[in-house]
Amino acid sequence: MRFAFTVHRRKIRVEGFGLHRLITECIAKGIVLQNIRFISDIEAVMSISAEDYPRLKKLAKSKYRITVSSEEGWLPFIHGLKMRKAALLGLSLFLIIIYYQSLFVSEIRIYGYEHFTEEEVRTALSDIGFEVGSRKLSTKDEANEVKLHLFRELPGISWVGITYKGTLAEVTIVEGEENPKKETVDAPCDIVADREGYIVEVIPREGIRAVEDGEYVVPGDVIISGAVPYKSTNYAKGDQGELTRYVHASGTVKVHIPYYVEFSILPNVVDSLSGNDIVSAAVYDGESEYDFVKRVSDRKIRQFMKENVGSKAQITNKDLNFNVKENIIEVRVLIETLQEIGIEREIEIQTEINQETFDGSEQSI
Amino acid sequence: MSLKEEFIFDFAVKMPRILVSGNAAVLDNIQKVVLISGDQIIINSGKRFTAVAGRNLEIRELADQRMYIEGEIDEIRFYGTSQED
Repeated sequence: MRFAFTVHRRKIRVEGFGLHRLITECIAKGIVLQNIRFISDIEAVMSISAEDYPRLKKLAKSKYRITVSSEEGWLPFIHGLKMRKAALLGLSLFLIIIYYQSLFVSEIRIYGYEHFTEEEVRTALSDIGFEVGSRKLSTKDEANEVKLHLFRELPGISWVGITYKGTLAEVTIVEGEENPKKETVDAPCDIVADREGYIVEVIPREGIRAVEDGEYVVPGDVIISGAVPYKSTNYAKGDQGELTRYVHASGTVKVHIPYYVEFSILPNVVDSLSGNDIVSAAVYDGESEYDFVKRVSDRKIRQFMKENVGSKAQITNKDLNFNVKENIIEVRVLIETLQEIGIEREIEIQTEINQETFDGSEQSI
Repeated sequence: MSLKEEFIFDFAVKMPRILVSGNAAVLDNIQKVVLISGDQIIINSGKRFTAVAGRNLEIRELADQRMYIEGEIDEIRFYGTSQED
């Protein structure tokens, strides 16, 4: 059982003859002694609790001389502090300064910026008053204010986080993806065919479809109409009959467009004689007439599609016919393609009394 | 150990008991201190004496009839009342 650090104890020097007798009496009386070290036969140093010291003094009487070398424990420490008021004051001032300094931001680190520069973010933070040397944000409202300012000043940011590590402020921003441009509401229009073909599929996003699947359309035919009929539910005005609402029509239109390609093939003739309608090609050993014509035709079709149709068209069917006349093979190919068509055509609105426009407001003349 | 021996071992308050480990020793059942110096410590347990000899001996703690000694222990001897064992 050793004295705890805080126990008030005294380091004493005991001088006298027969120190063992004194120690024996201490054992008998239950006085705890520690760190007994003999300097000579008549001198020893030891530690004793302040509580037991008077009892030891009583036992020692005048046979032994007891001198207190030092006192240890919290009580002497506090007494010592009372004697050093200036040191206490200095220590308190030091602690106050340390605490006060901890209320301010000493460094700001910014993470997560990609499109913005660090300087831009720091400038935005400075504008709202959050910079090195400013007070730390103590309330949630203050932090939200800084974040809102960043959202306003730096468009494209989707999240802002501010954390503290002591007086170091870490600002993390997350840049969001650019929002797709919202379609502006344009003037009301129809979707009309820009090429002829057989309707396969019409998916209107805005407006109503004006043709059925399988119908043949020519350029100029309305496929998705921007004039949408409806009945008004404005009971104050009574039954106004069928009204028309004009919208900016949009949607997907797919049609089958057939193409006829006719050309002639000159087999086993020098290739430099090929033209737009005449193709010369060499027959491979063992190749049948049909395979030869099919091979040359496929090449011609690919060329035709590239020049006349474009890459987005999808070939759904090919019908090949050929006949041989005086060593010239005349070929006719019917190609069926699936393509998206449709262009916008503005609607000329004939304004009438009490007719609602596309933006919902009533217009009258 | 028989039961009797165990009882004697645990409750023999007048017999010396010492636990030595390296440069430290714990002496129990101390009734009286006969001699204390930096080289030798002799204690009386009641029935027998125990002498611990060495160099730079220091009593770290002395309480409840127990003494904790640190230092270079060279020799431990047990004495009867009148003759050496």
